[in-house]
Amino acid sequence: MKSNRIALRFNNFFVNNERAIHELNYLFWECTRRCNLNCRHCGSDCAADYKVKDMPFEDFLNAILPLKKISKPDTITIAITGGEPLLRKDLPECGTELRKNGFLWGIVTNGYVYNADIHRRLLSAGIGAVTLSLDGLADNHNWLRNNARSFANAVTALDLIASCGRLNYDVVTCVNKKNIKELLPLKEFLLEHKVRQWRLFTIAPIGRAFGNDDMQLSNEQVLYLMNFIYEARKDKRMRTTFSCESFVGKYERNVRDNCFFCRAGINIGSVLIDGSISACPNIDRAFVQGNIYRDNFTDVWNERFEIMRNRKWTRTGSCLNCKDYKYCKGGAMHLWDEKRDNILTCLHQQILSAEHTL
Amino acid sequence: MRLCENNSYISGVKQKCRKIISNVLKGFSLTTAMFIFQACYGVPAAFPNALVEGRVVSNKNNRGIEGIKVSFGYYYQRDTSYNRYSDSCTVTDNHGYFSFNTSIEGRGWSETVFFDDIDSTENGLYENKTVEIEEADEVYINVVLNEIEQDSTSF
Repeated sequence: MKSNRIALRFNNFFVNNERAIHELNYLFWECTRRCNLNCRHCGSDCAADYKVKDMPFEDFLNAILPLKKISKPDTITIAITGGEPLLRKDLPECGTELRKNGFLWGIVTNGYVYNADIHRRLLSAGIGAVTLSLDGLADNHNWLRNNARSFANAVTALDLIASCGRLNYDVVTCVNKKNIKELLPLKEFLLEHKVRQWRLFTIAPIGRAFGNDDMQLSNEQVLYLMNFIYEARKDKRMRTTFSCESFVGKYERNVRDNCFFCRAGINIGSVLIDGSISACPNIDRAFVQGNIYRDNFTDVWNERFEIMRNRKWTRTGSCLNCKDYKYCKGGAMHLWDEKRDNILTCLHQQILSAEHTL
Repeated sequence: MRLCENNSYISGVKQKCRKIISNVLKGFSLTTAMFIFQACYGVPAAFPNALVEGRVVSNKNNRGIEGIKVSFGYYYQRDTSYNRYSDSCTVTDNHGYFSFNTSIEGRGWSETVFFDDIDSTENGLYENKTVEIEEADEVYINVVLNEIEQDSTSF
């Protein structure tokens, strides 16, 4: 394994500098809360009959257009998310307007309604990136997604996306107690379908996953996952990575390309369904910094977000006496709730506990 | 007032210095990992693409033609025949204008825009056409299609 002490120090210096600059490079737009699936692990708790109306595209566009005065729009990727963004009939029109204004954009989708016609319309609208969820082989994926056809439909989407050289795409897998046993066959399946990038997550205890024991990995399973990714990264046919959700100690740089750095509020912002201005959509709504219907987005980005750019307040609870706090800085923002008294889960501690038991 | 202006100036210089340091650090990392990141639940950095727009007019009266399918792609050889692949397309509006996005940069093959009359005799009957285009951020194409004389006795 790579020794990473020097890399972590280097990363610390880099992170502090990025915090001071806080240049917006990545903007989520939660365009809808409607969803065609009812996933067991949904961090947003979305549903088909969600009562909140979709945000009019003009409202979002008007909020972000002033960003063109402070940075080049093609340095900002807009990640359209939901809910399921493909449920918006006007998605290609939204994308076309974003491209006309110079912004790059992509979608996070479950692939359930993705077909050849939608694929072509999105490409014509200038889509540049897709993230597709695939949470196991058929049985496990369908179980997690609560729908018997979800796997077959997602694979149809996968084949369309993977065969297109014009998209930067990846497949994401939320690892849980059920699908962790089939990561190896899933890897082979993805290779057969010409997937080139695979990102694995663990599931945070938020949204519908809160209190669901099947979702949270045991200490030993977290350790297994780290070793699985470490080994999978030796296979150069596909770039396998662990998501940026948590500091993982000695596995840093062995399971990802770079060291842990939660960029929420530093390079990542969001406009949520009700106009709230925040960072990643799965961050507790108690951390909202403003609202596009009341505030100027650019002003909010430039002048607020102090709670995400200076995270000294996270040195509490189990982080208080952690010797690796200087590298982790309280982990990912979505692992803190409004009480701010303790991190919801810590993979680093789980790994250390598992190694201690061994 | 002057103190305030000085503070603002110093703050601006500091920010510029930080950006220079940031760029140096990114270069020093010898990878693109620090340039190209993605949020935990977000998409990878989106590939850029180019805007292709223009107008299709008739050779007879120079008026815009509605209902012409405009697609972007390339020919590829399978066995002994040439097949067409296209993944972005649109249809001209009632004034003959069209606009769509596509990736041109770095595709490494012949870039072709296909113009096909897909509505048969509705809006007139026109010969299909192909136009080769060069790599660019924005492409504007004006195309003239030849109208095919329709033989009224054939009905």
